[in-house]
Amino acid sequence: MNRGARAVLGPLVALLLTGAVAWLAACAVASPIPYSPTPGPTVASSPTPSPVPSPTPLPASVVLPPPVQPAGRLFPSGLYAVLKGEGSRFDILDGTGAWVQSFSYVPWNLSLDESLNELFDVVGLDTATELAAHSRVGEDRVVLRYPTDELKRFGNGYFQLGLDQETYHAVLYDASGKVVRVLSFPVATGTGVQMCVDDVQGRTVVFEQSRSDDDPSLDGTDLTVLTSSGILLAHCAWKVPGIEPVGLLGMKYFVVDDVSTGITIRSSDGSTLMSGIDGLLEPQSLARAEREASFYFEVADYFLKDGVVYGSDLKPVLKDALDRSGRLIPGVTYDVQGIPCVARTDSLAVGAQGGRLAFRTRTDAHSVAIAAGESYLDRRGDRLLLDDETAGRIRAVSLATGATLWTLDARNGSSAGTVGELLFLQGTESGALCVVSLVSGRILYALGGDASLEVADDYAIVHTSSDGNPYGPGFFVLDAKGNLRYQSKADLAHATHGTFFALQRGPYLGIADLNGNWVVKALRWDLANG
Amino acid sequence: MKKVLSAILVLSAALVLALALASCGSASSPSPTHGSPSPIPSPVPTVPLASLTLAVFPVLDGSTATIPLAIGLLKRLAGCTEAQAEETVAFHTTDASYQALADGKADLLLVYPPAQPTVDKLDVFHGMDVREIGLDALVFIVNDDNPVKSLTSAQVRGIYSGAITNWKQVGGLDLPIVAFQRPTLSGSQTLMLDLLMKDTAMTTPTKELVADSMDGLIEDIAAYNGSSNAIGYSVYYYAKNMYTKPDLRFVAVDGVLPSNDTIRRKAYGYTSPFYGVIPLHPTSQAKTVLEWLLSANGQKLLSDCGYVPALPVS
Repeated sequence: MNRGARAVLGPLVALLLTGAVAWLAACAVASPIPYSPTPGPTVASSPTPSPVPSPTPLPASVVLPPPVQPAGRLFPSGLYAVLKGEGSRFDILDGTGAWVQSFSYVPWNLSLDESLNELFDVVGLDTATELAAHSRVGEDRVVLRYPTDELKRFGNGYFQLGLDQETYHAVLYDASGKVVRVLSFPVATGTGVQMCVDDVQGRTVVFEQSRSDDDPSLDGTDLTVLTSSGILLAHCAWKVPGIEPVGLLGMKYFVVDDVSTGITIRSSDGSTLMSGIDGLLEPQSLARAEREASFYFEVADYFLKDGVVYGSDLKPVLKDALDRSGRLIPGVTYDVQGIPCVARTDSLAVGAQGGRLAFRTRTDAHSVAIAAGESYLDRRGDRLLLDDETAGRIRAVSLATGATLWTLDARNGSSAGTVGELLFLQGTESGALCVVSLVSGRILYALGGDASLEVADDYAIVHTSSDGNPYGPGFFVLDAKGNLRYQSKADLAHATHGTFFALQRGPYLGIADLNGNWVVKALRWDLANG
Repeated sequence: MKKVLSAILVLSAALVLALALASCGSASSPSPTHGSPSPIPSPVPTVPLASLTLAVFPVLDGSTATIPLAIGLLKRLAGCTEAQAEETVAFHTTDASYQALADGKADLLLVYPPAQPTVDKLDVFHGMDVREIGLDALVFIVNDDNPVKSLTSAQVRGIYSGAITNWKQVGGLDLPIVAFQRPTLSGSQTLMLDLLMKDTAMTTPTKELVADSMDGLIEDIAAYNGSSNAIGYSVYYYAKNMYTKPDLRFVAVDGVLPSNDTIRRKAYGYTSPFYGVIPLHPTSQAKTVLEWLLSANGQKLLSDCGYVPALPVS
């Protein structure tokens, strides 16, 4: 569970970036970037040389007033603080700091190290939806429709699945515990049934799949899509003998992955609408909802074909389109001051033209072009360049600072991210991190050695987790304007919502503001029973 | 010959301690009440308080319930910020901290009484300099909804020995009693055994799976869950100031509710001292800090942190 933090250092899928690479190649032909060799890395022959760590010294932390909360509140309403309690218990506090509920949870994947990072999967600030992974306030007051069926939580409320006289049922409750819909699925004797309920981008999806060893005509896949309040949005039923779909596109078309035909988009009757599909774009797996599921089924709104992003209308996604949540669509092009930028993640698009680099973030509030070869480069003596390693095909956008090369690399899954006015670039081989101001174009921090990044909505946490880093193990917190707000070589931190982060400092584990001052705290779990 | 040397050492140390205490303007040290304390002062000079920077501050360890005191101490004497103090405090709970002192890994303990096996193993009250710095108490907690307001000592003993199993037997609702215990060797478990159960055997505690950094998942004694039919115990300071859950209530024992006042007056029956402990041959810094804790200013710090000081604080 990530609670609002966006981990941006995961590898980008090469397939996804084909479009970006193609565009960059075209861009390079049309508008070559002026490049005057100066002492430093030879990028033409070695696009990602091993950077020589040249860390900038970290300044002292700046203490700034935290955002004012309404009277009596420690953090915004709609968020819940989850703290470690005694034993296996976790405690839930509301925005006033008052205890509201506890739940028991034992991290199943707790490893045998002392970092306790696993607890950060639970401790932090949660929305009610995120909290539902472990608990939901008022859960003990839900009146069960079927007393013997287990009540399960999901993002939109609760559900019960069960069997009653050869009819399977799915009872859907909203977050307050009120029944909003009951679905029934008559099933023939001897037919195996898999069911699950999950939330997909705010919608409720009820999945039911029947399989018969004896009679393939009894096989079927049924998906019901509803709002969180139980209003029916779509019903998709697949009943084609011998063929089992593996996904649903745009809540209306099925996806079939067959050895002979490859991946195809099909209508409910099995007829092929489009073939030669590369795959669904950022699909959500329904199997995740059931740990012991033996089915595999994905839901998505977009797919890739020949490196182009298509929507559920089976047409290429238009330039500047956002998804239903207002996020960028990876692979789609966005205009930034006349410069086409290709989205690399759902929060960052990057492009270059005429010696300028441009970035678009999720909010679009800081879409700026950075001049190359002009004020920035002259002022700092650094170079901004595009690497054209192979036959003029640009594979990476790089920023050279002295002997260090920072890269957004299309091949190796180099990572980057933005928050507020900041752009983070990371060396592909060393893990070194560069923090650039999108406003001034200046490099604020250059971190040699390995570093990792957590980007939240309003700040970022840079972890220098290895002894190989010149700073040694530790972390520091940067706000959206690039101010270094808190740093520590002894504590542990994890990004969470708003202007708060989860912090383990000494004997305490809790929620702190960006200055590192406690908002709520509890004893570290291993001390609570002392 | 050895006896003569020991006597000289003891006399010299007593003189040094008396002078040091006098120079601080403090009251005399209270006597520990647990075991057979051996307050043999060491012939180690103290250092000026102003020299106690974080870099030379004695390594502290002790019980969980004294963590706020340690943080307050570091802020007051070493001039630390709250964050620096918290980062400095690495406590290992009651029993492990005695071992840490014995192993030379800690210089000064702020700690509750040790379990008997630890007393025996480390000869705590003869092999260490144990000073009573404050008072706490073993307290019993129930959910605020529980109508039982008071129990006798015999009733508590009956509950934890298994002789009493229903709240109805002690004037409550007709509900089974879920009696939570504390981990073996924890400070509160030691108090429970020493002060209340004594020779009466306790029932087998409820267990639960918990996360453990060293062993992954382990089965441990279940923590008090605050349910309406539950009863648990802890030390007063911890229960009053460090529990997250707000809906717990103290149970009066033998008609007396635990409070700072009843503990100070020892009107509450299950009070217990907690200690400052240094080796018999401490560092000058450790000795200085312990003696400061026993001074009027030190005792005032305890009071300011919410503890019941061992000495009267004006």
